Amino acid sequence: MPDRPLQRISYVEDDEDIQRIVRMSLERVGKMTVDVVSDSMTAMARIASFKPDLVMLDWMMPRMDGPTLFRKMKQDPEAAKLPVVFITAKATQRDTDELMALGAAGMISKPFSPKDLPDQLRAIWGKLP
Amino acid sequence: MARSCQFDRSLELAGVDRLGEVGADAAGDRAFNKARIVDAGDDHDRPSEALAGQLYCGRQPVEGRHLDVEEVEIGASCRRFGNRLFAEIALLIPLFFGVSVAIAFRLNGVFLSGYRLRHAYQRQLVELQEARRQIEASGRKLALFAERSPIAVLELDAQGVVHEVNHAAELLFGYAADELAGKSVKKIVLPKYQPDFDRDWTALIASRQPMAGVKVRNPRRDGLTVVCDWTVTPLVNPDGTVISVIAQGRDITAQLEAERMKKEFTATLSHELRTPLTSIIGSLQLINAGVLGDVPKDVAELTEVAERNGQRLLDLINDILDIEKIESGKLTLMPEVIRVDELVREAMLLNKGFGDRFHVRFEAQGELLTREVTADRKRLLQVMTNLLSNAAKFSPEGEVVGITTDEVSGLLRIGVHDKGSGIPEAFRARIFGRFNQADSTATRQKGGTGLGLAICKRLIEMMQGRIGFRDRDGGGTTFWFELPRHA
Repeated sequence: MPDRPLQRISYVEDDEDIQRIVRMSLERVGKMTVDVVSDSMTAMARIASFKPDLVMLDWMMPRMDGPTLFRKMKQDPEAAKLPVVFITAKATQRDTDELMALGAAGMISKPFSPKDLPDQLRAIWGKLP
Repeated sequence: MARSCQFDRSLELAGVDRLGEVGADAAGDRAFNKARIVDAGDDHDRPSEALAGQLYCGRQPVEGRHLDVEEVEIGASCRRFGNRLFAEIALLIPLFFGVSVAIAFRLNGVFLSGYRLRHAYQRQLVELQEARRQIEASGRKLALFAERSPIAVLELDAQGVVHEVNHAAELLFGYAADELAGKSVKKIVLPKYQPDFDRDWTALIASRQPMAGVKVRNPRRDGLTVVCDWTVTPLVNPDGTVISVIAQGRDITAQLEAERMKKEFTATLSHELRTPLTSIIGSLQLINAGVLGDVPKDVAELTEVAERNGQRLLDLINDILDIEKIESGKLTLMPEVIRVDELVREAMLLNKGFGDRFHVRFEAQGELLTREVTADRKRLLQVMTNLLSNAAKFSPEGEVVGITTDEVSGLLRIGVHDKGSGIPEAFRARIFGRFNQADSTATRQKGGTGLGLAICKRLIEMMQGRIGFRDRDGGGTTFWFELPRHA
């Protein structure tokens, strides 16, 4: 379990409405700091500069989907250390298993409850080594 | 003087009649004693009793005419001849009679055999005619089956040359029967698949085993293609040679298209409907949770209605997706060892909010078992949630919904006991069916999709368990499910 509370989140998501709800949920309910990234192609640079505690990735995005971005992060020495949580409306059990095997920290399915989202993330954070 | 002896027919018969009693000679003598000697020159019918008496006794006649030596010798000779003749005849008659009886008996046997043979032949002839009639009828029936069959039927020889084509095949491929007959069946195989076809055909003829479910994209005359599901059956002689091959093809193009559309629809449901619902329900939840501060009471009431119905729509989508996944065999379970008491407590905690909404309290009754089952935790919680939420929805306000755990012969049973009005008789048989609810007004008032119990039943059965319900004494219903105990 990390020795500090979960505070900084990078969230990569193309849907603006969901971006707004997640931001509101994490900032207002969870009292966290959120950096939302709309374009997955620029995500690597944004994550590197924001230095989050945890990264949330949407699964289906144009240009580059969540799993591809995740694999790319795994090849970067700094980004590879970050815990990654997927948030998705469409993932088969096989996809989930594959990503968990690759080292994803957790999976949250859409629709999620904005009331509970911060607690769900903290639960995942608490289980990290 | 020529004389002849002759038997009166009645005497002859008398002699024969008594043959059995006194023997042939004695019979002959007695008959002779009664014989009449007839003078050829005299009246033929007048008997000479005196002469007959002398001849027999060898004495001179007492009265009447005198007899000389020649006459006496002739008499003796006649008597000997008569005796011999009589003896021979007496022997021949029974012999003849015996032979006649034997012949008659034998003939009777022959006639009887002949009669039986004729009868058997006629019967066989009738049977053969009946068999022939039946074969012809079967042949006609088979021909009719093939001809009127809605699926394409082709009869091919071992080389793959088409012999017969039914009407459905003509319609499906756009060729008249004459255009296909005598040609290779490869006419309805796409050129790029022909090497594969040759390989499969050779294997089929070599194995002589029927093949089913062979999916092939076949070209039509008009250039379009149809996907057919073929069943190919070689007809084999007793000596093992392939006489012909019957190919039956079902056009599954529309079915595949429907499956593709269903898959696409499911994906759309899964993603395109859930994504906007995430925004709708999420926004309403944030407002209703007071994250944005207090809102006017009327607004709050409406946003609660909106959130509840959004959630209902989401439940329906999730249930449809679940049923679809289960029925298409795509649902994979993640089995793990679960302690029954932990499962019950987790389910009670998860559904506490739902119970509060209906003013119903969930309560474990008796000591919960610490035994374990092997099951998918998430799916088992889904089943528990369904049973608990149903119990809460249909219990009167302020009631307690009890949860019990029992072990019966290696099976762990979890029971959820409500104090509702019970399951209507007419609804009992279809309670685990799809889109079934006892009362549609209940759906509107209390939510629910009518798919919940159908999903529960399928999930529990996938985990080698069973699910059921029974009336409770004093009102209410117990829903239960059983799972094998983890060894």
